[in-house]
Parts: sequence; C-alpha cells; structure tokens
Amino acid sequence: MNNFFSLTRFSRLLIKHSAEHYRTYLMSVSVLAGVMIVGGAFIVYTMQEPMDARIQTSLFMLLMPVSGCIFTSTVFSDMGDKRKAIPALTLPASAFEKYLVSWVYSYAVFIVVYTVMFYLVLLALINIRRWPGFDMVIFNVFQEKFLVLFIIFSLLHAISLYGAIAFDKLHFIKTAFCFFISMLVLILCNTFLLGSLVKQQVFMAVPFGYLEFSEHGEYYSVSLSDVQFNWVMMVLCLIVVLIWTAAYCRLREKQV
Amino acid sequence: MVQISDLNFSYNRKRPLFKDLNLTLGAGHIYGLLGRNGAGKSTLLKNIVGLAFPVSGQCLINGKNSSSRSLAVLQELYFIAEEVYGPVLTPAQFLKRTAGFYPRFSAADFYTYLQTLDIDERQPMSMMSYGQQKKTIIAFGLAANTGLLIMDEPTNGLDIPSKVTFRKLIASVLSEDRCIIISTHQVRDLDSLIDTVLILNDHRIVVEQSVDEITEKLVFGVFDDTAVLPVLYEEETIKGKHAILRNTNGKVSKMDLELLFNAAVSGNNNLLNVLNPAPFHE
Repeated sequence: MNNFFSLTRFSRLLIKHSAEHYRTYLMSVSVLAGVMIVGGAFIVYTMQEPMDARIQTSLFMLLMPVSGCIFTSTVFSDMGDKRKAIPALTLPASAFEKYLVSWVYSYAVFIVVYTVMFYLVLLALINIRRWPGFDMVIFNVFQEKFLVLFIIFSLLHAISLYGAIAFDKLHFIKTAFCFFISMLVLILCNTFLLGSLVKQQVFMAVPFGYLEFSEHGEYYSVSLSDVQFNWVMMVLCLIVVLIWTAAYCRLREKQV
Repeated sequence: MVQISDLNFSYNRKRPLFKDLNLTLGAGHIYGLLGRNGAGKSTLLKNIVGLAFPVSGQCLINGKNSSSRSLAVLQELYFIAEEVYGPVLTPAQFLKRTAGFYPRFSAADFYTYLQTLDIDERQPMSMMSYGQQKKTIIAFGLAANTGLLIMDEPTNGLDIPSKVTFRKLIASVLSEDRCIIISTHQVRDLDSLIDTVLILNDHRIVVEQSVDEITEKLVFGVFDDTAVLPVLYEEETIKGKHAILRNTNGKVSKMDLELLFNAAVSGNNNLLNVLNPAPFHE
C-alpha cells in the first residue's frame, strides 16, 4: 500500500470530488462566462475600431489572475467548515492525493477552461459587430510572452492556494490583504536596499524590476539583461514550487 | 486498539485541557465517554483520530500514531462528528463514490441499516433533515466495518424511536475485533448499551471501568433512609434517596449511569477511590 500516491485512489477521489462539487464548479464557469460576455460586449460596443490582438492579450492577462485567484481561494473552503473538514480529512486517501485534486481543479482545469472560454467569447464578440475595411485578428496564446504570464499566474495561484488552506473563512480577502501588505513591505525594503547599493535616492522599485533614479537632471533606468531576466523567471518558478509545497504541508498539518 | 500515553493538550497555554492523560481501549468493547459540556470529550476524540495534535504525548491506533493520518490509520477508523454534512448525493450515490475507500465496506449492510433507520436511499442527503442525515452517516459508518468506530454525540438530533433503533444497531454490530467509542452528555442514551464507562473530568479520565467492575464495587438503589448504609453518594428525589453504596456483600444491582456520572463529576473522592484502587485522588 503506497501511503503517498496511488493512481486508483487518486482517480476515485477525483470522481468523488467532482460528483460532490460539479454544481458549484458549473456555476463558477457560468459566472466567468457572464463576466466575459458582459464586459466584452461593453468594450466592443464602446470601441471605435475592432479589438486588436494587443487589447485581447491585455484582457486575457488581466482577467486570468483575478478570476483564477478568486476560484483558487475557494477550493479548500471545505476545510474551514468542521462538518465538511472532518469527513474530508479522515477519508482514507493520502494528504497528497487530497491536495492534488484541488490543485488539478484550480490550476490545470482552470487554465484550460479559462482559455477555451476566453476564445469562444472572443470569437462570438468580434463577430457581433461588423467593421468594414478592417481585418479581424485573434491573439495567439502560444507565444513566448505568455510564458511570463503563466509564471506570474502560477505564483498568484500558489499564494491563493496557501491562503485557501491557511484561513478558515474569507479566504480571498484575507489572502489578498496579506499579499498586498507583504508586497508593500517588500517594495519598501527593496527600494531601501537599492538606494543603499547605488547611494542614490531611487524611485519605488519592485524586486527584480527596474532600478530608476535621477542624477544631475538626468533620468536613469537600469533593467535586467535577457539572461538575468530568465534567471529571475527560474527563481520565480522555484518560489512557486516552494509555496505549493508549503500549501501541501499546511494541509497535512490541518487541525479541526 | 487505541493507546493514549501522557497526552497533554491545550487550546490555550494558560488553560490545559488534558494533563498527562493515559488510556488504553481494546477491541470487543463499547466505551461510553461521558463528561460535562466543555470537559473536552470532542477534543479527546479528535486527538484519537488525528484531527487535533497533542502538545506532547501520543495517540496510537493499532500501534500507529494517529496524527500522521496514514492510510493504515484512516482505513481502520470511522469518525462520526456531532455535526454531520450531507452532500448533494443520494445515499446510493454516496455509497458508490465513498465506499471504495474502506476495504471492508459492506454495501448490503449499508442498505440494511438504511432500511432499519427508515432512510430513503433515493433522496439527496442535502435535502434530508438533520436527523436523517445523521442516520445515513451512522449507517455508512457502521457498514464501513472499520476496527474503530467513534461517534461524538450520535443521538443528538435523533427522535426517540430512532434512539432506540440506534441502540439496537450498535449492540448488534459489536464484534471481537471492533472497538466502539460513543461520546455523549445525554447519559441516558447510553444506558444498557455500553460495557465500559469513561468519565472525563478535571483534565483527566476519572473513571475507566467496565460496567461489571462498577457493579461489583458499587450498589445502586433507592432508599428511604441511608443513615446506617455505606453511602458514597446520594441524591434526594421524590421517590426517596437515590444512592450509590459501597458493595460490601457482593450484591448485584443495575448501574444508574446518570447517578454515577453526577457522583464522579461532583468530585466525590470516596467513590473514585473505591473505583480506582490505586488512588490518585486525595
């Protein structure tokens, strides 16, 4: 008997989870579709020209982390309710299998459903209004720049997943609050550190972002090289894995 | 089956709930865990099943630490909490999705218990009343055939006929390799059901005796006058004095669980010393 992972047990757990939660998930998908349709229709009708790939990409990038984080914050809501947490935690499946079910739904399934739905809504919206003389374009999600989006989304997903287990109620609000406070502290510390390094008054600086300062009336902006940027992305990936692991450990130690 | 050694637990550092608690529970018994509200009955059960972690000490189920929540531990226990949850599934669907996790689950037993408890297997559990949900979960817990079955206030929410059926069912499922622990503050619900009494008071187990041992040592009865009797505890009632006496001449009486409970939690050291020959009570 494998105490950590068994495919049979995981499949059984996935089916049980789906049977018990599919209504909630379908409702979430409907809400997401509603937001996309209403918001998208408003944008299409107020625009003076057809939606180009740049706007489509921006909308895709904006809505994905927001909706993903809200959804992820709810995947462990059962753990905050004693009536549901007790049978869930005492069910004979490993903590990793229980964690993986929520991870699969909130990450893998969400990305696929979100992307497919975004394209479907986009296809419908760009055809509801005719633009004579313009070519219709649709953005391609399989571009290199989307890799950065997926890494950032993964980071936000990991943080939301951790918050979903760590907090018993108001998961999204509490996680978002902690995230913004932590970001503020991190930016202030980073700005102070960079200022000390260059011995200059520097502008507010996000970690691994631009270093910007003025000297003798000249404005300077220092950015990372491509190689350094790739390293930062790899470090971010490592941080994502660490937070996912921390969330798993938190589930293992969950008490009711 | 269950071994608790030197268990210390507290929600708050200043107010420990259990201090060096030791307890051994074996298969083939129905244990009744009694205690006042807030004595820590539910918390003790959660420690046993690994839902709460002790500050020090350990709870073992078949020699394995329950706080690890390993598969070997989880497959061997079923815990019915005081508040149950009914998912949007019928009992038949719930069986289909959940029974596979329990190696000794008996679907035939489940349907028999549902019938006995008068539950419609086609009705979604989320649409059932609280009592019906509880009965469904009890039926599932019994059919899981786990070595350890723990129930926290199982009779809360059950009507009187269901309580009678519940007692009959529990008595019928006890076997040599099964240990059943029932926690309640409704002492009368366990009358004639349990074979071992556990009373939790003042951070520890003050009574851990089988019913036979208790009735060997104590006599329960109603008396007009107890002045010349070896009274350990008594309560004045309209019928007379309900009393617990020291059993000095091997008399056989029926145990009055409520009276014993009242005596134990009132801090009656004479009675506790009679029950526990190696006294820790002064």
